[in-house]
Amino acid sequence: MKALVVSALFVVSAAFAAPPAEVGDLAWSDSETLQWTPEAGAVGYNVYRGDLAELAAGVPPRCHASDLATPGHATPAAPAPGRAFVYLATGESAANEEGTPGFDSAAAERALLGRCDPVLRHHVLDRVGFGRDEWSADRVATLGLVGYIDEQLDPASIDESTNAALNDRVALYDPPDDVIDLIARDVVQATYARRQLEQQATVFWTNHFNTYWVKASEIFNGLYPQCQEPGIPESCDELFPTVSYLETTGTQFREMEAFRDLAFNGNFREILEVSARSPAMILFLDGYANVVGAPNENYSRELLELYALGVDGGYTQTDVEELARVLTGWTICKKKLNFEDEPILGCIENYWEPTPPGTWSSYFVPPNHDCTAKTLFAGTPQELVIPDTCATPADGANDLQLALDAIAAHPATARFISTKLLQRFVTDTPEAAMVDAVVAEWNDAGNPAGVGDLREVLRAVLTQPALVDPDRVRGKIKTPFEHIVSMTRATRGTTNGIDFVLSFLVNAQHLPHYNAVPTGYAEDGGSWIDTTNTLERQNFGVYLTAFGPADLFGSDPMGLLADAGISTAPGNAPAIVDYWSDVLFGGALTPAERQQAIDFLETEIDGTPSPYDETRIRRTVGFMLGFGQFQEQ
Amino acid sequence: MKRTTRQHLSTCSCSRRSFLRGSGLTLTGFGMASLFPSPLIKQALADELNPGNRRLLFIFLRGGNDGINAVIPHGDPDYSQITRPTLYIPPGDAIDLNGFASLHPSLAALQEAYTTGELAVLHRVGYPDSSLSHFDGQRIWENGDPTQTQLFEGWLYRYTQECALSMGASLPVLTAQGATPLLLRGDERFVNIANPDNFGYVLANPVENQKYSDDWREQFDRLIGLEPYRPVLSQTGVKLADTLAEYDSWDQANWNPLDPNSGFSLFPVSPETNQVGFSAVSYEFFASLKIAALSLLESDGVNNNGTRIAGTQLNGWDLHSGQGQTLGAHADLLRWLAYGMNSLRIVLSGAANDPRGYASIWDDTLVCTLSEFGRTTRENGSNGTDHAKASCQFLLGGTVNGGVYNCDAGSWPAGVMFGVDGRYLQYETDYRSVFWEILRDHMQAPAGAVDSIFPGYSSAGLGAQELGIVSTS
Repeated sequence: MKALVVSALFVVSAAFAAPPAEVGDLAWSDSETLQWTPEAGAVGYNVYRGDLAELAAGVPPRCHASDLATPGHATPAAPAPGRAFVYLATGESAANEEGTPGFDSAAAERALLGRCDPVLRHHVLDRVGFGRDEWSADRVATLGLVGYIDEQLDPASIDESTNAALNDRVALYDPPDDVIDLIARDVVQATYARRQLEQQATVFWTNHFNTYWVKASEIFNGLYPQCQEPGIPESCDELFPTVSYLETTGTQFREMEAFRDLAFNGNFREILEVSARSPAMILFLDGYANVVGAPNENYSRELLELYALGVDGGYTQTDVEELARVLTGWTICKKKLNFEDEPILGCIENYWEPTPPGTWSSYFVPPNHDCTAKTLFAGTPQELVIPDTCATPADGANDLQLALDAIAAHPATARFISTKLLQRFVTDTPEAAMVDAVVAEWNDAGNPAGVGDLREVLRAVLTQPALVDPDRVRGKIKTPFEHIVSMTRATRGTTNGIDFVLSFLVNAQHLPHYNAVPTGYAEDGGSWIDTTNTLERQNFGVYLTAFGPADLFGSDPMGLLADAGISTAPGNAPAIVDYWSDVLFGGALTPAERQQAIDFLETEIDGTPSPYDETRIRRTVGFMLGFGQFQEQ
Repeated sequence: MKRTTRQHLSTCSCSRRSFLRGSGLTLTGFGMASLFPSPLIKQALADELNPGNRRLLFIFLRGGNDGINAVIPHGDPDYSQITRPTLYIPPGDAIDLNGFASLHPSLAALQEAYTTGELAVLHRVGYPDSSLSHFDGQRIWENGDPTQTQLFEGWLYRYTQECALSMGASLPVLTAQGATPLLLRGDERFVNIANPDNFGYVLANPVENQKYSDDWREQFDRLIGLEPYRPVLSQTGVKLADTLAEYDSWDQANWNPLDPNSGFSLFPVSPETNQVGFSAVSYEFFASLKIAALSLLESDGVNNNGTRIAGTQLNGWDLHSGQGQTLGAHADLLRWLAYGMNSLRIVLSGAANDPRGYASIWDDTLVCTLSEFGRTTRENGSNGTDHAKASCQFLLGGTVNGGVYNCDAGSWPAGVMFGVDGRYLQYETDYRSVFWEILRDHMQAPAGAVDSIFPGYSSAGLGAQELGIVSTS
């Protein structure tokens, strides 16, 4: 097929009204710049672009550039071979009212695949958090995209004290004493928190430093007496499995809350140490079994490969073995209060007794440590020689500090983590220039938390122009967890984080804290698209819309429509569908998709037209939640 | 009509890719449906390229199977209580195969197939400079190219495309596991069933479920756009809708074939079907294996609508600690694997006690295992083993040339156990050679497809490593 070059198809008649009239005279001023005539009353412009192949298939032009201050936009006049584009522009008034995209030859207003502002707001709510709800929709409308992201980067500035929907539910699981409580907390926090980015970042770091609840629980089960065995006192019933579950859960919970804090108030070196010294990790990757003369490489390898440098980060098998020796001697014990960070002191011998109170913490056992010298990254600029400590065995605990310093400071670490954050929030395939920009921020020692300042690194990620590039909207796939939380948020849903949610997360292969593989769950979309995942996501929407707001699990589409002033009396199907198109897709449905939803609303199961009722409205929302593009973000 | 299409195609190179190139259908941005040949053409292509109607079932042992503990080189004095203090299994406890190699006692269920020549036991399979990373290692075994760790396309997917296998049936490929494995990932998605008991819509009224399914199919089919995941999303949704009724018709929940000798269920998926007495942890594996087997059986000689490639996985092989000896974590996994493979042999050969009476497809079926790497030949300090290099593979089926490969007195020189860096088993046969033999000699792939499926196969001379593991007679 030959390359077509189409430009400035839409020539415009001028009219004067507010919002701005149709924008006219699109043309290329040079091969790279599209320009148009300034429109009276317009303080900004949007550009929409239609792909000819898409247009032929019924997909209208979509937002291509937003909030342009001047009547021009840099975009190549000649598209790639085989492609052809149509452009049009609209003006925006000082009151943020957008003008018309113009009218076709039949005098009908031209269709767009959503308007720039709502599409981008929807997009930012998907990426920064877990999708749109009423609070966040208001907030982003008030603050704008940049202001909203800025506020989210300062979670302490967002008041949660009045957020009863969140606080009442979190209180149900405080403290979490089983893995189900942990999962439920994740769900209700993602669903109801105003601090959406804080929760996203917490999920990110918890998944990055993934640990598996079951493995730790098996070890804790062994640490606490099994009450079924003969000769064990009756009081033991309180210890097993309750206490072992509580302690297992506690190790993951404390680690997660430390990640939550450091994500906005710390640096990578600190968060790396939290993971390295977390009992959850020490048990998960066999650190407790790694002793002098009989090293276990499990954690050593993953520390380099998964948690810091990345598999292509330049470390060698020798580094894995040397690091395993560095890590020998670290295990866990229950420590007296205020001794948690002490490497050696403070272990409670009779840890199963209720007193003294204590916390399971990392514990360095000098005789189990390989005290001879080690070298990391030998022969590279990052080479680190860790001296022999055999004369003063307790000093061997410091090996870990030296090694973590070198690992956190390794240039491969900044690149690997920056890339992964960009993949999480911006694009599955970040360009090198984006990574460079985030790495530069990472390396800025002047940031409040110094090199690797996690908040400033995250800010660099979220201020990449690509995050709000309209061409990249819906370029990622929601994880199953994000998917159902976004469904719940969009429909004013009710959830305790357990009913229906737990079985969904099991079936969709995305149960937090319960992933046996140290990589954590995949950040790329390709890993989450398959027949089972699509089916489970659709089923969840059907369930969610089948139950009402009075149920433990359900949604409130009727309440939302009422509050939006949309009549649910018969004969209003287009307005009802348009409302849900806005809420679920930022208005970006094709005319055919919109019509399909209207038809769904207006017909019975067998296709017979009949007036809709509440049940039909609910089912139509469930149907729209199952659209393919709701899996995208 | 089918015949006409076939004649027309006889002039092309019978590769779906070249077929597409020849039609000039290279536009991007259109829905996937328009990119693919029509069903009739698809059918004809598949008939051309899989004339024997062959089937392949894979089981991925994720985490790195300790090949030394599964297929024990008892003839090598380096295998001892010195190198493996707690893991060591004395010859008397193991199942001798050839006077040199033995099977772990938990693999006893495979012994009969070995005796009848249906089981090939391959040792020292790997590739140059083997990765010690699970994730790179799995990707390499699945993408078929050790030089491209970031290639997210499976060699088995490329086989389906090169040989148009995906075009022959509405359900040509089915996996039963958490998500579609990379082995079968590409531009197109095949059916994956993670929850065999819940693969359907949830409303009580089947008519209403059908309405949702039909309407969503329409929505996904129309779903086009420049968004990067849109084509595969669209195609997945359509595939889902097109599969549900067929899957439902299998009524898998009520299929419980029995071992004709013991009377035990071949697939223990619940307490009621667990006469063999495995841990409940194994149910998920057996439920998946059951679906994989059923999908192949539903594809009998008459019904050309069924599955030609099926697969699943068994997780938990990353035993850095507490690996166990004749009993323990590794022994359990091996026992489940052997029981499952033997169940496949029984049920796919029509020998099960099963009122459905499926005809035997065993002569056309090959079952193979794979795992991303083996484990250190020396035990670590935690009664376990760490990541290493070459490992073993099992091939089972009617077309398999049974026997032991790469583990006998003639081919196992001294010191090979510590052949790489003093602690890893040196590979002898490249995994790509094994799989290409399976594809060419069992799945009847045309010889010319080799370098498209395994890039660089010919230039690397991997053909020289082929073992003759599949009968071509």
